[in-house]
Amino acid sequence: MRVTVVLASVVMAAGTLGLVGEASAQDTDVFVDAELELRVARENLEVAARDVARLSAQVSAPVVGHIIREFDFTSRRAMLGINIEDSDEGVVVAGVSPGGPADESGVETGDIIVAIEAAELTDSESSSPTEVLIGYMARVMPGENVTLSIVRGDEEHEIEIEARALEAQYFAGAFATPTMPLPQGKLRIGGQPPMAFDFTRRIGRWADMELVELTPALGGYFGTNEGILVVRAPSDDGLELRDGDVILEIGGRTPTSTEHAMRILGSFEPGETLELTIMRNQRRQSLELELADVGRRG
Amino acid sequence: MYPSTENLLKIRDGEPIDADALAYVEADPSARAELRRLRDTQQALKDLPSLLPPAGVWDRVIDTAEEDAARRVRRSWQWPLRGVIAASVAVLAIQFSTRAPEAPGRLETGPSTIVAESVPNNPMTQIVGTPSYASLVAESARLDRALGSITYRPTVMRGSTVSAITTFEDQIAVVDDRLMYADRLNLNALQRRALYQHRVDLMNALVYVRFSQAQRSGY
Repeated sequence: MRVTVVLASVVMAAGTLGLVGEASAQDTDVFVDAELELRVARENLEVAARDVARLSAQVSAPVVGHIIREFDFTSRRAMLGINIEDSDEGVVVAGVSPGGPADESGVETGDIIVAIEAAELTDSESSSPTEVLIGYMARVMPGENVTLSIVRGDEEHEIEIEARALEAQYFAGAFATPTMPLPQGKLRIGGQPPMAFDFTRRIGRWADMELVELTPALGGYFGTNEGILVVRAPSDDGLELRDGDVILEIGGRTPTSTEHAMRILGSFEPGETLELTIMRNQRRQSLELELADVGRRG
Repeated sequence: MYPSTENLLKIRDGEPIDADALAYVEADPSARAELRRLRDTQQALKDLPSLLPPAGVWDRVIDTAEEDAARRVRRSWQWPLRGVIAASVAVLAIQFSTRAPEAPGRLETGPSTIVAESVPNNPMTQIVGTPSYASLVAESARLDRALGSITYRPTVMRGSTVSAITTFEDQIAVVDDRLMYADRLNLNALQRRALYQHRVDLMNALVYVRFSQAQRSGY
């Protein structure tokens, strides 16, 4: 009962139901209708946005598909999540990958990187600033921190970034189309070619689940200070999750955000076994889930 | 000669065009692909559902952009404030400007006014019909800032929404990685442009989803 109250509070705080208190019953009906309509619009928008991305990949594939797919995964390489161009003053950040390491560390598009650690990014006869940066990054392993000296406006900042590994599935999903399947050559991790990303098969079962990143204050009700709270469990009973469960680990990995949780969940293929460590009724327990193929279930 | 964007848009829209340019497009696979891309993207954007912003969202977008502009002393290569606003609004305004009958009264002085002031052409053309490399780079940077201005994050996240966001983010990361290594990969101008076009498309999709998440009922 207490958990139910807390879950309701979470939903109210996260949405706008808290505003209903001052409204009339008629206003409340209109509000609920608007909420439902908004929800449907969001879902439709997601589908449309996916279509835009898919169509864009398809029409770009003849020109750049092979560039994406010919990535050699045999050597691990760390990324910062930026794209760069040379300038007289250093390396200009032409783009910051949303949600990437540089983005999360505060790097902004338009920043000028003048040094990486002690290596100054200046133009020389032997190499351009971008070549110096790329050369330095070749020695950085995923998980290592690098410090960038950045000029933004008239100010210089030092920003520390934890380099991250490029995930094979990023590449696998980008330009694979029915007429341009992934090659069986270079695109490998651990000797296995990654599959093209199939949203329905790998994420579909989790699609209607609703999650909240737990705060320490909220976590007190659930017996843990961290984790991902399941506000609404997936409708797929085979997944065994219930409203109020807190996900602590997914396949031995600790999710740090809802995005991280979905990335980990999406990395499991149908047919694989997924182990979840959860808090339920303030008790730690494990769930072992056999992931059926979404397309084959009745 | 490879057709200009203007000519490709004329073909797409069924307008008269020089016979030589038309013949070139029919014979050249990359030009045909570019034409297909323009048509598909236009259709996809037209198919986007209508979504109404809450009152005050445009003010917040502008305020955020202005604060950002005031904080930063722009250099010659940086993009002007009005460009930031134009991109933010143009991206978000496509639905409203193309579905005017559905827009409520409170929007009448909102996006359409701002778009008219800051984007001289049809916003659809502004988004779709700017495939020169330089304009795509600028467009991409503007979308980065537009996304940065959407600071609200809902506490409760639906699985499908999170996976849509992560899918777009991951694919943008791939494109950025390829662009970062463009010289080493010996990418030609057409390939670089195609990568940037794809980045812009993905950023647009991400901005749409993030923007829709930032919506709350206007009470």
